[in-house]
Formats: sequence, C-alpha cells, structure tokens
Amino acid sequence: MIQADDRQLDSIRIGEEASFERIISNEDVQAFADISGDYNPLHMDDEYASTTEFGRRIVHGMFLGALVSRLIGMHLPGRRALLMEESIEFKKPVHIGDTVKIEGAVMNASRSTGVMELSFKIHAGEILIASGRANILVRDK
Amino acid sequence: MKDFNSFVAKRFKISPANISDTLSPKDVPEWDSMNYLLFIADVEKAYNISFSMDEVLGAQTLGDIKKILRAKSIDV
Repeated sequence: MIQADDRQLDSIRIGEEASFERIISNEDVQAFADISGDYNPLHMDDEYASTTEFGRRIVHGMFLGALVSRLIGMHLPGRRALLMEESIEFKKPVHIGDTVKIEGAVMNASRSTGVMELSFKIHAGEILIASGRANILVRDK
Repeated sequence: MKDFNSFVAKRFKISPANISDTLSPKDVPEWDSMNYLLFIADVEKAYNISFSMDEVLGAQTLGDIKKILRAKSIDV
C-alpha cells in the first residue's frame, strides 16, 4: 500500500505548501468515466468534441478535483485527513496529454477544532486551470 | 467590524432575522457537530482569536459563544 504522509495539526504551519505533478492520459479519462458514469461526449467522443468550442476532448473537471483529494489525503495533511467541505472553480479546460501541477497552501489551522483550511491551485504550464479551498478535519490518529 | 450574525447565517443556513442568543443545535438542523467545528474555525479566523477546546466543547448556545468572544474583547 502506498503510504500517506502523517501530519499532526500541531506540526502544520500556516503558509506551508505541498504539490505534485501528473500527466493526464486517455486511460485516466476512461477510468474516471467508468468510475463516475460520466460518459459525456465532450470527454469521450473525439468527433463530437472536435465540433465544440474546445476543438478536442477535455478532461472531466472532477478528475482534477480527485487530484485535489490526493493532495489532501496523501500529503497535506495526509493520513489524518477528513475532508469536510471543498469549493473549486474551473477557469480553463485541460486536455489529454497535459501535465497538471496541483499545489496547496495552508491558510488556517484551528487548534481548538482540528480544522485546517487549504487553498489550492491547478496549473497546466503557466495557465491557471482551477482554484479552490477546502476545510479538512485533521484527526487525532 | 465583522458581522458575527453573517457567519451564523451562512454556516447554519438560517435567516439573520431568526438568529438569537438562545439558538442551539436542537433549533437549527444545520448545526451538527461538523458544521459547528467549521463555524468555530470561521470565527477564529475572522476575529484572529483562538478558542480553547473546553470553550468549544462547553458552548451550548449561540449566546455562550458570544460570551466567549466578549471575554476575548470581541464586540458581538
């Protein structure tokens, strides 16, 4: 099993950052469609997508959201994470073959409640693809 | 001045007109244990203060929370 980072709230500092990169493949898009049941042709049908304003298929927005789940559940804070709420705003499309970078920064950490606020951004090269915030309960164990 | 009632209304999804010091979890469907933690975290950040764990666990009503804030020199 891949081990998640194990951060306790007391060790987390405001401004602390974590990030990773991921190349998005056609297999990723197919797998996400299979898991979610979202086979919208904008994601799955080359011919249809070529007729749209995007010119080619685009990656599911919530697949990017799933990568934010990885950021939280594996890195910041990692294994003690319990996602309580999340908002995400999509600004630009991502295409198959793009490399995306998911970056998060701690905005607040409440010692009394165990709630950590994370701000995140997703870039493809220099282009901002999406941004958002999440509140995460950092559990005791 | 940050409006305490706006945090209450937003987090617990109630009309500002229905906010009173006697409000408690039994009056507000959205006031569950998770939302309560998020609310306290909202308030701590907004007023740049920290609650103790005893304060978080001991508050039973909105009025209790306001008393804690006033004890920290927050005008609510």
